[in-house]
Amino acid sequence: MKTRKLLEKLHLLFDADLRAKQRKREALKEVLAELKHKERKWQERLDGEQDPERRREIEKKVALIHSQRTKGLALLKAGDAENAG
Amino acid sequence: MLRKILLPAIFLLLAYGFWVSPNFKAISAGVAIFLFGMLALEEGFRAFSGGVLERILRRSTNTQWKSLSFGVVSTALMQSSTLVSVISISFLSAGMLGLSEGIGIIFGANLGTTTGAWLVAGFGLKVKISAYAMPMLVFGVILVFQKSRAMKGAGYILAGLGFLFLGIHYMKEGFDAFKDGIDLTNYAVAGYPGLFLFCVIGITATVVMQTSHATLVLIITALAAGQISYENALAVVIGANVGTTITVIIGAMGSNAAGRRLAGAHLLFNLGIGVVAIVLISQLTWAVDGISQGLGIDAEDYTLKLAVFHTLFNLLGVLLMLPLISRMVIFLERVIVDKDKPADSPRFIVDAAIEFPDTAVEAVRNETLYIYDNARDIILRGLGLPVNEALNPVLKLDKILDQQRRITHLDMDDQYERRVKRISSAVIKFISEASFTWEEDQSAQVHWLRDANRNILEAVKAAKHLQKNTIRYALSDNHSIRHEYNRLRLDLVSLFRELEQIRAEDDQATTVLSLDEFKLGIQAREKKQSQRLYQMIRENRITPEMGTSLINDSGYANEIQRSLVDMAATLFISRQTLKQRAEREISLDESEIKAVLLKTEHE
Repeated sequence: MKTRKLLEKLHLLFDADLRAKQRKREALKEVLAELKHKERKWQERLDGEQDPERRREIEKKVALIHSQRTKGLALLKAGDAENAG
Repeated sequence: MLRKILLPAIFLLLAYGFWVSPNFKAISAGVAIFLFGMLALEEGFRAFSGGVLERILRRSTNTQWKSLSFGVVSTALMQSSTLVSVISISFLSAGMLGLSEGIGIIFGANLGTTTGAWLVAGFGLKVKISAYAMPMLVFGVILVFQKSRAMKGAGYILAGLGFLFLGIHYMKEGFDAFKDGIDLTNYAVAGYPGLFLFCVIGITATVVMQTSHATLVLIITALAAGQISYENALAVVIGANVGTTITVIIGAMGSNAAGRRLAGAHLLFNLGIGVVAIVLISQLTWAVDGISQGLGIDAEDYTLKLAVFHTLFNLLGVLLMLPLISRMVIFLERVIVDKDKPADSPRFIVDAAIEFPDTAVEAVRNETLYIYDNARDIILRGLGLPVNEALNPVLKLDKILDQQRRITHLDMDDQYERRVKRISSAVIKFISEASFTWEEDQSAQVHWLRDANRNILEAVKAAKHLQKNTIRYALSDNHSIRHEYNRLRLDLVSLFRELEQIRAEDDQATTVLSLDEFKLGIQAREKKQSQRLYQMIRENRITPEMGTSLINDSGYANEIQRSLVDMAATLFISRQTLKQRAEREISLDESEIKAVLLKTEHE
């Protein structure tokens, strides 16, 4: 197991393309995690908000973040499929 | 004419020299290999200038002490004060570095370069240096053939060092063999005439070889072989220190005033310490003897004593000049000034900025910011908005606009051609002239900056269309239409204010993704306005002709806003980290924003 891991690390060291793809994936995952947190935070605010005007504003915010997340997840999946293929 | 015969004459002279003396051939080959090593080393370090260099420079030059340390360390590592100086000038020209920080780096570089003498005198001459050179060359060349940019860079650095060592080896061998034939010390000149003569030789040799390092190594190897007197060698070292500024001055010729000021500081420093060293030569020699004794250096080990001298007089220079930096800055800013540049000429895209991909990108960014400033003023003034009041975040403009009775007409076509399009065209020309291969990261940044330029042009063009009716209806007696046109203007002012806030943020709190909210806001307002418009026509508050104008003009106003938000994503959120690139990919386009708006309205 150790040898395999070592070989993988060595492969990663010499394969700049693979390394770049991995870093890109990590960055995308980081942004998605932040968006998830942000969406949850605004959803909680929306649940506690009574003012209809303010609710509409927050609803827009939540929908926007949700769309961004959906787009990001699709990009992540597309990247994974490309790597697997 | 002279230029045409100079090179063949040098070739013939050298060929004759090689024919007469094989030792001269060995020494010259040593110098050539050494210089080739420096070129390889430079190539290697350039490979790391795709963001890494920029990050290090940004982090390590925010105070004077940090700049000084950066100069020492980077020069000690790269073994070329000229390269560090040229990089600094390039960064300064691109607006990435302040003058006093730049001067700090130059002072540090002068100290850092003294490590070269220590390396050669303490290590190069004491061990069989060629034994280290061979494996370095082999490993270096193998790495150069690798695909990875970092590996390639490391390969060039390793091979460069290998060539440096090999060059030193040949110079040493050449001088050693020379010793048996002729004794060059017979040509030694004592006293002040010798000091001045060898100083000039040092300057000339450095100007010809374009690096003081090569002169130093040559003189140290000659000194080790006893082919030059210690006293004359000291003079050559002083001369080499002055000569090295010539390369920097040549490098700064294509720069703006900022870059030329730094070259001026370099000249002042090196010339200043050169004069001090000549005046205090006997005191310095005495001090070198004392320090050498303290360090346990043999009294006859002139090569190490030369290294002590080199370090001592550069250190003395730094200590003398460091308290004078702020005065030096004032003096240089007064003496070297950019001729009053008209508003329609580029400020940052100068030849010196095209040296490195990072500086080229930063110069394009700063120039685009300048174009934005011009465009913002043209849009505001063209639409009858006072610039200072419009950008003052605490001032309420609605009443001022309601009471406005006169708008001075601005020739927006002329302003656009001169202050926006002309500079933007210069930016495009600059990008196309960059001869280096853009790395993926820089290429993406340049692509986005080009888009930002296009966004600015589109915003001004849309404002031109908006101008005629705005002047007509913003002063109309019909309250409703006047109110609607003022609303369009206030929306623009509000966006400009928000953008200025984002621009001023130090912590980059605004992300590309949060700009999507602006886009959503623009579309929502557009929809509301359209509903209001039909109601006003139905209620006969405005004529259908006014309504048609308003439909067209709100389209232009929204186009201005959309273009400006797109531009801000590139221009005001500047650090292009991988995370920000990921955010940019996730950022929604117009149709996706529209879908979000529709969804929230139906829920």
